[in-house]
Amino acid sequence: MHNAIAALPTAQREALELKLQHELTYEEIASVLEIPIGTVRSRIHHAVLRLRETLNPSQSVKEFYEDGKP
Amino acid sequence: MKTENLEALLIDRAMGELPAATAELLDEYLAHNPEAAQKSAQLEDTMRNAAESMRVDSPKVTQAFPRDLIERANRGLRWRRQTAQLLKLAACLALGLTLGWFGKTQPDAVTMAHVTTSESTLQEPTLVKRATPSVGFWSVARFEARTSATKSEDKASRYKLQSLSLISTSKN
Repeated sequence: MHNAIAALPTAQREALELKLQHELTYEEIASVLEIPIGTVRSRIHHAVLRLRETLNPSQSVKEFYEDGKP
Repeated sequence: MKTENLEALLIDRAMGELPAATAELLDEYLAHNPEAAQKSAQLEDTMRNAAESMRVDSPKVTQAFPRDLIERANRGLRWRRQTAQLLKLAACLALGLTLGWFGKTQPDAVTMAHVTTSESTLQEPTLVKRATPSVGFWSVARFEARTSATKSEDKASRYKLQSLSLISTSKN
């Protein structure tokens, strides 16, 4: 998990850390990082999904094909 | 429901950012979809592990994270918490003051009571004597003994007063 977090892009890691470690809300993170709240949500979502993908690669591949994508 | 939408909802719920009504609907959906529920559990596990990892390995993981941003975030959080505490205190104070003022401005129960009496119901006050008279400082027996002692100055009354004092002292 440590390596997976370290491998995240800085922007995603910042948002995730402010959320999980400092327990700020999306709105508060948006004001701290001076970005729109939608961007905060997007960064956190991507970070969590990327972590899951790193930790459970088989799951993400399975979902990829289940969604009917090529 | 599309996987992307479901994942977005699950992540928002795990982060505590989903409105209560939407969370209820999502719970209902998960109850009828075991696969989605499994996915939800997996995402929650991932986030829990990430949070624990960040707490334990914070300095290494957040090496590139600007320190001033964290400090700013912490300062903001502290300020918000202090403000919330002060607001709670102020609300309690205001409530207390309001209740006090309200209680003070209300008329007493005695003044509010409308007493109706007729001459036939009026009675002379009667002295109710207790079976074992009290000998305390405020007792009727002491008061009577004192008044009779001061009026008549006779020895018997003085003796009675002294004996009452002795009894009360021995009781204490």
